Amino acid sequence: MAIKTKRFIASRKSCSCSMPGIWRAVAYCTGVVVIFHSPKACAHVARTMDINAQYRSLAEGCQESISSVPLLSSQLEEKHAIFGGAERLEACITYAVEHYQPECLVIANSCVAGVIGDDVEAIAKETEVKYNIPVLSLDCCGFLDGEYYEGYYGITELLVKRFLKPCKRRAKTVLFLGDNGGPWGHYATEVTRILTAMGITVIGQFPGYMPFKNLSHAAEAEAVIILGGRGQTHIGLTKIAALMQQQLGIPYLDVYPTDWAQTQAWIEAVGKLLHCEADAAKTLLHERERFTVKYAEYLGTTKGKRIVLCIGRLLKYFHPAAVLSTIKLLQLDLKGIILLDAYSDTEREEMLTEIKKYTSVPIYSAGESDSLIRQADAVLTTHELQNKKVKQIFLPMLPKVGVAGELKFMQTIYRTLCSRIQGGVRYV
Amino acid sequence: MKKIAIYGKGGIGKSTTASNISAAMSEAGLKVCQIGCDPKNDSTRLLLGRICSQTVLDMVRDKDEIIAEDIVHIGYNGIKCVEAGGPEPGVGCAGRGIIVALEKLRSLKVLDDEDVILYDVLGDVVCGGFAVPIREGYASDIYIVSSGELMSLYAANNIAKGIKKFAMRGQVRLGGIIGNGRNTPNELELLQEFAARLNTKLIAFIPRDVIVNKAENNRQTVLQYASDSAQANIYRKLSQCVLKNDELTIPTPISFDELEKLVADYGN
Repeated sequence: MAIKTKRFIASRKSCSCSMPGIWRAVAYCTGVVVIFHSPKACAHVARTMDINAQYRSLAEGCQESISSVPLLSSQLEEKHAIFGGAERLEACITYAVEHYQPECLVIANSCVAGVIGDDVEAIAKETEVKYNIPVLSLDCCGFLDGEYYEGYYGITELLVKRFLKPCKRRAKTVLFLGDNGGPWGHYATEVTRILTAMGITVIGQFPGYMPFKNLSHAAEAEAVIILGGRGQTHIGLTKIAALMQQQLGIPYLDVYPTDWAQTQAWIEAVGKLLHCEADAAKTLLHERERFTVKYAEYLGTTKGKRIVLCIGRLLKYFHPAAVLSTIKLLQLDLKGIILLDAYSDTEREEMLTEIKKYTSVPIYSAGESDSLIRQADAVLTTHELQNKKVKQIFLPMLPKVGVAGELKFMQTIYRTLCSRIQGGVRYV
Repeated sequence: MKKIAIYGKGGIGKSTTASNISAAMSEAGLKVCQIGCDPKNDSTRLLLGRICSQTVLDMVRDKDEIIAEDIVHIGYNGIKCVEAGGPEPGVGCAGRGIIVALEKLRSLKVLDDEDVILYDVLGDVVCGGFAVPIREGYASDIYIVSSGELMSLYAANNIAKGIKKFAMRGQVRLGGIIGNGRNTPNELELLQEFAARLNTKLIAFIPRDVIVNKAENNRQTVLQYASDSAQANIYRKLSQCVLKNDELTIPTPISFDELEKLVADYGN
């Protein structure tokens, strides 16, 4: 019998809106006011994103310490769709300026604004002259001609080009580039912990989490550390980092500490980039000791346990190397890898080729693997399975990073194997 | 109730033709309503004797509650005149405006007791909004005004493509081609052949006459300005043909190459 996932796997392409991307890029840049030139309901997406971010923080035991900037909507209605929404946007801008005295305005265009062809660019230019404040507007309308990342990277690029100027750089300082859960998220906190141990100061997290008046300080960093991942995140952030290198002369690091091996490589790369190899070596030694002690605690339970790995994400979003490395470290008995029914022939071939670089275990299709699942002590999976009797460990879209991340992942596997409860899904 | 829509290339004489048909039908004792579906608001000018200054969309924009009296204006011989209205050139979305205006008219039930409703629609079916009169069951009998000029025939052929698409799904049909003479060579014969190729007929040919211009300059239909003229009688005859027309068809548009050859064959 074929194994089935809880949810239909259909996502092939990103299908989102550029406005939340723009919002996320400046949502915590104090001094900025964001205007959605849109119907009122579009702003709801941003609100939902904020709430989700807060829940993620709470789930991780973190605490948000800063508030988001004002988000206004021009509240386009039917009549504006017919007669044009320019006047409505101008009124919204006036309101924003009078009530919030922004240091910078960012305008995001909706699908409606795009369809009716409001000349937002011209209004932005006029507003700059009228109120003597910078106004950023992206030639991107809702999901008509873009998606989330188009908005996020588009506005980030504008910020770099417009507000970041070459200046004297401060030794042993870095600038974080990207979001990945924000400054209070796992990624930033873990990376900050390691950098602090190396005597490196984090100037800020660009673009979303620097006050507008501090943006010029971003260019003081000795290096840029990308808080990246896979897919569009990696492509987009690397492009921005390359722009910063070209414009400001700041080198960047695009190695990600996504498993123990990568974390060690990352620490060494940071030391090299910031000319503090000795500090890096010392930190690496300390982290190794910490890792070894904790890891040894898990090994007694994990060694020899039967594990199955189910993969349903495309290679550009999920690389199997990190999880295979953890399985090897914990000396788990990987009985097989199941490729879920999510791939075209080409995508499947790409994933197969990549997997075979790291392991020679049998690889199955979803249709021939039910008995394999039933015999496993636990299943590591990118998609929740319908089978309620098997212990599942859900592999997150954003992998945990650094030593803490790897240990957290190992701990989840360890606890799952220790648990007397049959079935259920555990989230890393 | 007869529900008619007049389409055709911009400037070909749709509004003039529609207004004269409306006038002729009202003279025949029918209750007529003409609805201009063009943001220029000039469809009913000859019936009202002025440009309509209070359109449906003006009211949608400016008022929270609209009543029928706000948007229905009484013109020549008691004809009800409605202009959908729309944005200034270069802003907003006129197509969306047509959709909203027609929905508003429907919800206000202002058209329920008319004998004839005549929609006068902007030149080309440039977007879905301008197809609403034929798409949503507002009009069932479509007439295309055209001269013998190539680009006028080209627009007519394009409109026929739209009608064909919607005819496959519903009751809308092409009633025929209304020839509006521009004195091109063999114009009548060309229009007759063109209509035949489109699986329809030339329902009337309106020769060019200076009296039409004079009537327009005086903000009147020909039937009002020169009631006894031959031109007025042509419009009266046309209105009767439209009322009695039961040869409604699904059009068969032709290719542009075929159209070019057709026009060339008739000496243009």
